[in-house]
Amino acid sequence: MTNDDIQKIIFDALAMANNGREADSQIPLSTETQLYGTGGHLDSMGLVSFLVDIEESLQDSGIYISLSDERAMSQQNSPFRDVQSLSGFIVQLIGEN
Amino acid sequence: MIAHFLDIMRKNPEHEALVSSQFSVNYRELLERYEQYRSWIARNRIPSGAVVSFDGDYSPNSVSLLLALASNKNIVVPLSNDSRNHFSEFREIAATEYDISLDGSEAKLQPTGRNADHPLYEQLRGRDSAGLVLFSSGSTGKSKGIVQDLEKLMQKFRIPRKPMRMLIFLQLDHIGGINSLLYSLANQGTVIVSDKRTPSSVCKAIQEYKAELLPTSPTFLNLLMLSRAHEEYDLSSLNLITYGTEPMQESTLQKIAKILPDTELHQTYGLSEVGILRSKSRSTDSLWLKVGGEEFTTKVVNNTLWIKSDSAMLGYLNAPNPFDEEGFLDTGDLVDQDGEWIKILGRASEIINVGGYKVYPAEVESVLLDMPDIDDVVVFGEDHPIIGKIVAAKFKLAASKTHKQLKAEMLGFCKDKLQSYKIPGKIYITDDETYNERYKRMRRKEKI
Repeated sequence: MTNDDIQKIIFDALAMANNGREADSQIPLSTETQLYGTGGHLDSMGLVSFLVDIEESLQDSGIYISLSDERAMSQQNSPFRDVQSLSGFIVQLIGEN
Repeated sequence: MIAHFLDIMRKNPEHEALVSSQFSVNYRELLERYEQYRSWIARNRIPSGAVVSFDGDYSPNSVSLLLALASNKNIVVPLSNDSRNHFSEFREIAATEYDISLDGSEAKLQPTGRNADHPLYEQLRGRDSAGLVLFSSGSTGKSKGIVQDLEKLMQKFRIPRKPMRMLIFLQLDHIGGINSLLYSLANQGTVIVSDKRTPSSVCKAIQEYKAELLPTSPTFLNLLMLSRAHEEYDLSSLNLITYGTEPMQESTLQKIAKILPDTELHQTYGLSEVGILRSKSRSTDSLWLKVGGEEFTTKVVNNTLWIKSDSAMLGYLNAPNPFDEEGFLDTGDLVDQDGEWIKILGRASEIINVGGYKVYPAEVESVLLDMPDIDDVVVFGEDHPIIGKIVAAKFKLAASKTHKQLKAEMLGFCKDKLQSYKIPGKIYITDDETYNERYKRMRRKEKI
């Protein structure tokens, strides 16, 4: 799975989340998009659903990893800060899988 | 009882009462607004004993209106913006006679033409007490209206306690929010309101307004650590964190104790039906607690906690009386017991606790069943490491759809019908029957 594939999965999950959001609060699909934390577009519930979507898309490609685990929570820099950090986190988890 | 509150508020008029990025008022200003609402109520001829709703979150207006309605002996139905989608349902159940909207600068009054003659209301009017109506979701999906004697709730604040600068986390239509507000008013405290209830917004308000007390939920503490907002802001003013509304994970408690070593952690226990119990944690990182206080008696029957309380509700507006013959109420919470100490294990029933919010499967199912091409759907909880439980739904479809199509449709369909925490985060499509031989829905995960 290439970095582009992972980024597409993240964008697809953002697009999915946008289905449940009003027209004036759509999340932009960009590598710069802030996800969770200060300035982030997602609240806690939004983050949880978003991570589930990504996990499911990865499963469709035969990759079984959990993004919302204790480890992610205890990392120095939250991997859920923005699209880029999340993408790096997924690459790392797949590498270890 | 209202008079007692007003006396205390008058004692130190220049003391800050309520502060946020939008407003800052002292007790003198709050009392002035209270008097203005008293006159407004008189001008509009809202009679004592009338059932009156108002919508809005914490603000100088909502707090002074609440007090003015209480002093007019009204039965008050506070509605917070969190439950905006349910306003008309809640007003219907409460049979409100007047609806007040605080949206905008002026209060707008709407007489409804209803006649609220429920026997519980008559009981309140008979004893010349102000009332309070709160809502909890019913197991059949319909919200239950809980009638409280507001003055009895206020009684327990007669004993002076420490004034605190408290960040209010739960809204005015939650027993925890009402309890926090009354505590603060009765003790010359300061209520701090954050712009949002996200970790960074709450931490920012703690830093800016030097909050000493944060009443919150275990899930919020989990999210706080996840967002690492505590590293961006100075939380050194925080002396005490109280947590309740759902079972606390031991690991979360230990982590937060490590991150905030100078902050005391204290578990609380309460229910809309009986109020908030005074409780004592065995130690700051222990889940064992003693509940009770002068006005509460507890018993454990079949590992389930039962509570009897002076400040218990009068009853439900739209559900049977849940008290036993001795006046105890089944909390539905499973507990472990060690002498006088108890440990809350979780709900006995199938309620899904999503980050401290209770979700009743039937309510979500009834919305999802209105979607096109759905044969049946069952809703249940799945474990989730961040928020405890996530709502999951298993669909039986009438027409073929991909997983992604169905999810996109469901999100769009639910966005104005359910609060976000009730919308399933995980969905499944099945060809199997979704009910058992007795035509009872199977809400068990292993059937997937």
